[in-house]
Amino acid sequence: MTSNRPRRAIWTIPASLAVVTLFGLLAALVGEGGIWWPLSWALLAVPCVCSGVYLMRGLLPPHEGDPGHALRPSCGKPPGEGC
Amino acid sequence: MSARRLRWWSLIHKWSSLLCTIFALLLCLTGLPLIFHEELGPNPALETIADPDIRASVDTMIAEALAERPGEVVPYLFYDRDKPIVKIPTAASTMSAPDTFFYKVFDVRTGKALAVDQPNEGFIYVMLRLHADLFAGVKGTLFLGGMGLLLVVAIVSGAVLYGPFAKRLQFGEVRRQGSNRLRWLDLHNLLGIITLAWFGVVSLTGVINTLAAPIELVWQSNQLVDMAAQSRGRSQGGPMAPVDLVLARVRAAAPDMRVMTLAFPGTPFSTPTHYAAFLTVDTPLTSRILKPAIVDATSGEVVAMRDMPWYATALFVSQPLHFGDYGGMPLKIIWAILDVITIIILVSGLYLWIDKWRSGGAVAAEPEPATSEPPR
Repeated sequence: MTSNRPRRAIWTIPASLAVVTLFGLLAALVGEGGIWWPLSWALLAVPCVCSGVYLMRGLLPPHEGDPGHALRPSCGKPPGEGC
Repeated sequence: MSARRLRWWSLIHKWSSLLCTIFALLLCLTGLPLIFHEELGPNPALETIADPDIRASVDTMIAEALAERPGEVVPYLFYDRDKPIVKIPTAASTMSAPDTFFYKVFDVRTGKALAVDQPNEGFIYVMLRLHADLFAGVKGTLFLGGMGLLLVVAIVSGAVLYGPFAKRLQFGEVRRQGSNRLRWLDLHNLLGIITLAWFGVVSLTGVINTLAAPIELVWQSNQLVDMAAQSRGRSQGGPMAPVDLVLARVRAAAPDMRVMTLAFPGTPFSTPTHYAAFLTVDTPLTSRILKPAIVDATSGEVVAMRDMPWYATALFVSQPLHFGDYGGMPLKIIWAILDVITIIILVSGLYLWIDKWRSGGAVAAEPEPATSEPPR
């Protein structure tokens, strides 16, 4: 858990994943033969692998070293106003 | 984002998801085997031929198909995109519904009939109908289109809510220390944002696919009538031209293209006095875009050939992006993995709502992790 992150930090990875996925979807559709199919597979494997890794990590039982172990209490302010 | 806006987006996400979740789950579950329909469906064994470009007479194949089904007619010829086969359906009339067709499949090179199960029977067919129209025809398709649209709204609102949610969590962080609810809230949001682009594209193209029937209607009432009108005064009447001649004329008029479908006179895709051939060019993208050619039924002459309008092209392009069948087996496997992840997102969303509902809504606003954590 971290303090409020700037918008850019929040969206860098999700936006990159979206761009990679869209390129992957279009590579096999627009490209003809050669490198395009393997490129598409490689790009679209990124969201698959990310999902698999984070899902498995998320399903692990909790232990002391977890990043989310040290939970902070709620600040009590309405969402979006910061603490 | 202000608290008021956040509440609105939460409401939009909650209700759009709730209304469509059961149908979205059905679509994901039935879509899973459909990704592999070519492998799981009827698959004829083909013999190896010395000259792969040789073509047998289609008229002979039609005669053989009709001999088995006396009193019926042939409304269409369906060629396969990948295999040298042609499916010849017979039906009570040219206007009969496709689910009443009886199919006979032939090797286009040898003209031999192939032993294949009917494509409108079996497990894959049931999955297809559940996925495409719930066995309720156009109404079912349009209903599923509405559900798909709600799903798109749920995806967009989910993406909007991700921003405030992720303010105090690193990307990939899943709170495993607290309740199961927190863990699944984080996983739901995380998997949702990772697969956002794929899920968005597949949902949106699915919605476009449900508009096939209205798009066909618009095309029939505008373009088809317009194209057939070009032959006014030319049609002589009399016996129909042989199908082999019609196909030869069409292929001569468009030598770089392949005939995918031939609609016989009197079907919804032709006119009473014209055949309609639908052609494609053989590249991954253009093989989906059909170009119609209208052929005089008596003389076999090509009357008109023109590109489909933009709305039909949008439909054709959206099909592969929905089916995932344009990049070989690895792409199909990727489609299946992402489909399973989507099922996890849907089920976890449902779990989060049921859990919140059972606890009487006592859990605080979802998108902000700081407000949904138990105090230390």
